[in-house]
Amino acid sequence: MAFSEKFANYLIDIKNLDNEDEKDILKYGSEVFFTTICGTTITLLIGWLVGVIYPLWAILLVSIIVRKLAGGAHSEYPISCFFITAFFYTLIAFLAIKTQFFFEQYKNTVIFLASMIALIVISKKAPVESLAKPLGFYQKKQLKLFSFIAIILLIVIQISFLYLQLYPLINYAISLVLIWHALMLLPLGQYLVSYIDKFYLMLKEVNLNEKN
Amino acid sequence: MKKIKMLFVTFAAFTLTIAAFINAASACTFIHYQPNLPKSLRE
Repeated sequence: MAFSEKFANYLIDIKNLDNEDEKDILKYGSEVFFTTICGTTITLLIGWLVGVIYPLWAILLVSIIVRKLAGGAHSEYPISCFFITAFFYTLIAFLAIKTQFFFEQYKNTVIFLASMIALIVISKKAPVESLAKPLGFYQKKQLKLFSFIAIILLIVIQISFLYLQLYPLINYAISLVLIWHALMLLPLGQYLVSYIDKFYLMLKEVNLNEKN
Repeated sequence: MKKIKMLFVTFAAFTLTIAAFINAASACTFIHYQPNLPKSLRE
């Protein structure tokens, strides 16, 4: 049994909860809370070890806002999810640092292209729901509007940074992560996540076979 | 000691319930794994 479920059961025992709905909500809250805390901590730890913690903070902050409002592709297994979160966000931060010279030369073009891609994809595709969490009609409408507003605000922040010549690395990292989230809203992103899931299943089978 | 334990349990249960409701209101979790939403939160 996962730690999150054990902890929820501990709370249920102590609080003497009988209501099945309350139990389900606590178990769900526990799973969401601990997977988010673990995912974020592991990502930040890897980012710190690789030396990319500075742009990684901005990437995570933007990701929290965009994913919460626009949704995106999801992994079926927590382990491959940790891998996707930790590996790809660290990779984006690493790329931002290593290709910063490119941004210095073409900053207007990069920000314009990334903003347009994010705006077009979000207006067409957001919110992308997962099978595990279907969305209602009004909830979809609200999330579409809020995700659009969030992207507009992010673009305003980016343009302000650009003209005030503040935080160029953060600005570039935001552009890269917006492109990543646009990809995650498209079928291509879902294929990528499902391939990582398949790879994880394959590794699991190999491990099981070796043990047997 | 029992009072502190009950305070901790109540705070933890409150935090997890808030986490569940925030997640139910949003499109999905921030990381790439989405657990099944309970029926009581779908309504």
